[in-house]
Amino acid sequence: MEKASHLSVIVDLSPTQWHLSAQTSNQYPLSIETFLSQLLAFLNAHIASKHENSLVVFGALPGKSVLLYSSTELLSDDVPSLDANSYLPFKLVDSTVVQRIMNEFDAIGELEEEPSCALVGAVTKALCYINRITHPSSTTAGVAEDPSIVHDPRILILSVSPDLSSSYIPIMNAIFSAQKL
Amino acid sequence: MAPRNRDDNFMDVDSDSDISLLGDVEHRGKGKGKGKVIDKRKKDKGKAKAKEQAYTWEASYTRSWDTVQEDEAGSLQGAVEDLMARGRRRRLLAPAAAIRRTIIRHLVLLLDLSAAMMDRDMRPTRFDLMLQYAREFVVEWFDQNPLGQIGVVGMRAGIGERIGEMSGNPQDVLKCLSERSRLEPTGEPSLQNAIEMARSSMSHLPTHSSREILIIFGSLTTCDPGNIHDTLDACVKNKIRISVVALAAEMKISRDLCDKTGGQFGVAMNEGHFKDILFELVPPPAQRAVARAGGPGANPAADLMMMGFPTRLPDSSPPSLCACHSDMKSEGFLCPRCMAKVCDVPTDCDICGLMIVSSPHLARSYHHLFPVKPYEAVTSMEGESTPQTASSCHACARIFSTSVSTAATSEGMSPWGRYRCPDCHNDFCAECDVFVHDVIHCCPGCGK
Repeated sequence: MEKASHLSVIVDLSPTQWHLSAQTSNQYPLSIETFLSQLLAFLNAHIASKHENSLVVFGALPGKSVLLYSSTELLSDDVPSLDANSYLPFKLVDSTVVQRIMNEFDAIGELEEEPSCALVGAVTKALCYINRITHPSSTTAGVAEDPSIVHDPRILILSVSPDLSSSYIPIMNAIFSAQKL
Repeated sequence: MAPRNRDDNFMDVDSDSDISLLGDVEHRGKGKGKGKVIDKRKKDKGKAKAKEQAYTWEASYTRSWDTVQEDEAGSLQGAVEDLMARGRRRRLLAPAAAIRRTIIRHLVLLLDLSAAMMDRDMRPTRFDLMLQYAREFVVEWFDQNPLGQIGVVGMRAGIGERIGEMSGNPQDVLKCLSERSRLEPTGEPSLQNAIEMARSSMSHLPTHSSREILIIFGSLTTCDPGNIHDTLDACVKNKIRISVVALAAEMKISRDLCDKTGGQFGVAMNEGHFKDILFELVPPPAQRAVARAGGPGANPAADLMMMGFPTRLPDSSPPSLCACHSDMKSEGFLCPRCMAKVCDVPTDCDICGLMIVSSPHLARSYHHLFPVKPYEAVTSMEGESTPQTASSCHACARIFSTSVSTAATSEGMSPWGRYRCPDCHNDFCAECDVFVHDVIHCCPGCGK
């Protein structure tokens, strides 16, 4: 715990799978609301444990994968309002992630046949991001990047969808490249 | 203090000053007249100085200190990006379509252990450098070709010596390359003896695997007992592919060996180039279409190979003897056909001869067969068909610069730093481009 660590979380956001998981006929029903509240508590804990910890959250939706939150770049312009009972970094993470997820779900719309969950794209994007962080070699401008080299990058994948046979080869490639990194 | 006696003929310069006292005469002594394979990297900067030179070969000789330019801030950033651009251009020329390659390879590494390898033109000696690069080559080769096997033969004192048996375990191969005292170079090399030894050790192999010989050759002579062209014809008949990496000049017989068997030939100009051409031979070679004269039943597309997937025995299983070493061990793998226990996969079962592989080994070879399409450099931003063009890299979310970079002017480099996938039309930055094509082998936008 002495060194800064990086965590990439990939969340599987396929609507049909979450709907099926929330059915009360399951042995342990889990709805997306409870899942998200637990997940946000986990993300807050990771940020709180050390100041230099960095966090990236990716969402894997049917057909595409998006970057939901990145601690190194503030992609959203609106800063959430401060009230006395909330801690700003936590509130920033929580509100960004939830807002983005809601936007993505609204954008899905009604489709006859839902395309398969793009977990592969999210995993490769997480690897590219980690590659970019661990090798801060080239900068186009003369601005010096801060020399906090990331130790110990990790990827956590939370998935409720069954495995896809067509994504076997890309997932194995991702595993081998994670071995090399 | 008395002033030093100044001789009138003495020019007071530092010993390491680059003002040449003798002018152009100095340049004629340099260079060893190495025969070079002209590769794409040469630039014609030498032509600008043609008026000062007396020999025509000097025009094509690139001074390496000229090709590296510092920009106004004193950094070598532009030179590094230039090297990356050359790598991209080379990759663009490689075929992006899936072509048939042999994944199961048998390679014999022929090392030149003659007296010429003690030459110090590559630091520390050619021999030490060759050993070091050979070890790195073996590690990288087994990483990219887990189903392959490597054997090592040395050329020393006019005979071929078997240094390592053909083995699929990288640790075994590295062990026989690490005993440096056994490999001291002496004598003259003999190409024919070594190639004959390599060829006979590969003669019993099945036809579906590729047979290759890689020769690292540092001498300019070879002393052979017979006609080397007979050996060459025998190799062609046995479908053995010979590739040569030469450290001294090009020899016609080396070039012939490679051309007739379909291998690659290269002469190393310096240490970095030596490593590059050695590592070019790591990916599996493309299989050439063999013209079958009058073979009605032999359909090359219908070759099937038998492979078995083993069951793994954990550490908690009762200890038993293994079939390969007769060691008493608990952990191992069971051959699916004969249920014999082997220690390590991938291997051929010693009892029934079945090739035993585990699925990650096969999966590691897939990216050779399904390469990622190379990305095109975005050269113009007008006429964008999509309503919104992404402001950040699709893979790593690095913000693209909106200003045109003036340093990147060579072909293959995009002035905006954007590279577009032809299938999913997403833009990626240069680092992600290199990373996707070299390490991950999967485009983040396409997800294939």
